[in-house]
Amino acid sequence: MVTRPSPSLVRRRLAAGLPAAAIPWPAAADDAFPVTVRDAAGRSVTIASPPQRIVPVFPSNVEIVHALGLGSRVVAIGGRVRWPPEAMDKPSIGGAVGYSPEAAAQHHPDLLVVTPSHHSALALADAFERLGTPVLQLAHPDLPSVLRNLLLLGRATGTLARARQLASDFEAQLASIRAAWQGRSVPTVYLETAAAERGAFQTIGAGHYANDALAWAGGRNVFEDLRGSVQVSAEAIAARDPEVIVSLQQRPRPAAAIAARPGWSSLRAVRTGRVVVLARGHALIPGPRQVDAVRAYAQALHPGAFA
Amino acid sequence: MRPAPVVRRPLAPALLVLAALVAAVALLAMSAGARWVSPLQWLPMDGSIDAALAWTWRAPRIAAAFFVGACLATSGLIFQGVFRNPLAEPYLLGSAAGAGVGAALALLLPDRVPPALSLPLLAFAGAWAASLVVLAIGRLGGAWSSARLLLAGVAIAAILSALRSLLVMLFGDESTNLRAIVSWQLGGIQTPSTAEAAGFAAILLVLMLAAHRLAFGLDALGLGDEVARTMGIDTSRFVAAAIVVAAMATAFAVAWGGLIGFVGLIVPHVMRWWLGPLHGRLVGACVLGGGALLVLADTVARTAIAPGEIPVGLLTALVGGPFFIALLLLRRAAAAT
Repeated sequence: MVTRPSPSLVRRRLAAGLPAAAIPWPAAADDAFPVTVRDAAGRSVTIASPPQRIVPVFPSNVEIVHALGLGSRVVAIGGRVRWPPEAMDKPSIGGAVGYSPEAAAQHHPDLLVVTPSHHSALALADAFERLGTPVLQLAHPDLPSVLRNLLLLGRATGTLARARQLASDFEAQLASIRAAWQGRSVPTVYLETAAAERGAFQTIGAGHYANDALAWAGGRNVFEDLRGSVQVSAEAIAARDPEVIVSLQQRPRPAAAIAARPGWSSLRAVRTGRVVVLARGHALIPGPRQVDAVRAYAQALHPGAFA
Repeated sequence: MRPAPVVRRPLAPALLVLAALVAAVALLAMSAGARWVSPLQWLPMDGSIDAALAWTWRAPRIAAAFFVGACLATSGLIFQGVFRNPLAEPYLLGSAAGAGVGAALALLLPDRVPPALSLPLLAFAGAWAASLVVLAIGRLGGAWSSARLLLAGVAIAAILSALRSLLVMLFGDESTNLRAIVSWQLGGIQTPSTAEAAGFAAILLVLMLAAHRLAFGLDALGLGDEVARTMGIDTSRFVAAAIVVAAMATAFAVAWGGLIGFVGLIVPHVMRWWLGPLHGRLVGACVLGGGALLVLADTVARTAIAPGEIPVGLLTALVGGPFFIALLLLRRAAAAT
């Protein structure tokens, strides 16, 4: 069962001064230190004073830290980071073939921000926890959790006012996108996150922020009964026969290339010309720019609403 | 290797049995998938949704699976003959690992070169070069050593697999097709167009003819270099030619199916146990047997967790490994009695 967040829910919570989910929230003195926050792994993390030497590891971690205006306090970043440009001259702690705790330690970080996505990242987090360096683990199964990550990092770094501003902007933009398509019929969508030439079709199901982003954009994921990132067979796509195909590609090729895949010309989306190729860019980075991804999806799903 | 007693089971009935097996497996593969469609519904090509599902979506992929399995079994057969070792197969000997490096390069290259073209070419270059290096090491010091060949193959395969992983990790990132590339490398049958599927038939025919022409030489080689030479075979030229053919078969298999282990090992083995050691008798049996096995494996891959999909290479290793061990134990038990 997929619970789709209603924009109003997030708005109500934000209006009430509450985060979108339960983050322990001191009633007064928001930016007082030391501060204790609960991260996505459910652990209490105590931060003695505003961090000055931050190491955000994953692209989404880096984007959030920069959005909070903390770029000058970043001492190193994980590999694979491509945005924002001003982050790119920071030293790397590795990433392409695993992270190096030693490389990170050289920068004497006082806060490490990671997403517990694979073993090497967890090993990195583990090493710093044993050293007593605060480590914040972020998770992002849906868009409200992206807002939660903003607020959590805002609280942990003494930039809560900025975080609240960003979160409310984010939420307002989501609401305005939703308002643009509201009242129109919600099409079924196959979101292709990657593919080999003629197979290995990758998509996402429930519990993935892109599934939620599609819902906010006014689409219904044909594979929302699956969980997380999944590979599906071509015939499964045919059986679900989506009304729209949205393909995320690094270097977008014409939609005709998808229509030309063997058999695909019989799909409803191809017959009705509703195949949209989007630059992958930030669509698969669960940071503040998710709102741009939602807008791009909405424009693909409801071209009339944004004409 | 102890010379096996020459078995002289009649070939034609065996091929008929295998052809029937292919037909049965194909029937199952056409019916099973994300949704079961009975043959009564898809056999009449009447344009119904069920018929379209089977003929448009399943049939081309079944053709590709058959092709990949046939190529793997054929190259396994040739490699086992050339290396005079029953353990030889494209995956153990570096040939598939070389093809994997070539394919990874093709998939990571900028879009200027369409993968449809670069993938088979680079896969072949990788398979061929890896086999030549293994062969060169095996011949060092002049004398052939089958054990050295095999060890060289294992080492080269390990080096190339590591190189492939490194390439993918260094140059693939979240913003490229990383997940798709990794999944494809674990084995994933691609879906061909009708023209490409027709091309498979032509390629298979050429491969089978080539393998047949190699058969006598492979039989002779099995009796030792000296014997082969007295039978009029220029062994070094023959081995080079055989390796080109086997590398081509490996490259086609990798280009259309990613990295799929065990099929090239198991199928020639089973056929040899059944039909005896003469290579000429084994080519057709390997094509049919390898094709049937992979069509079956791919059917499980796209059915077991439908609508999700399991990389077929994981399946062949998971099921093929224990199956192979069981066969070895059974044969030992049979030999002991």
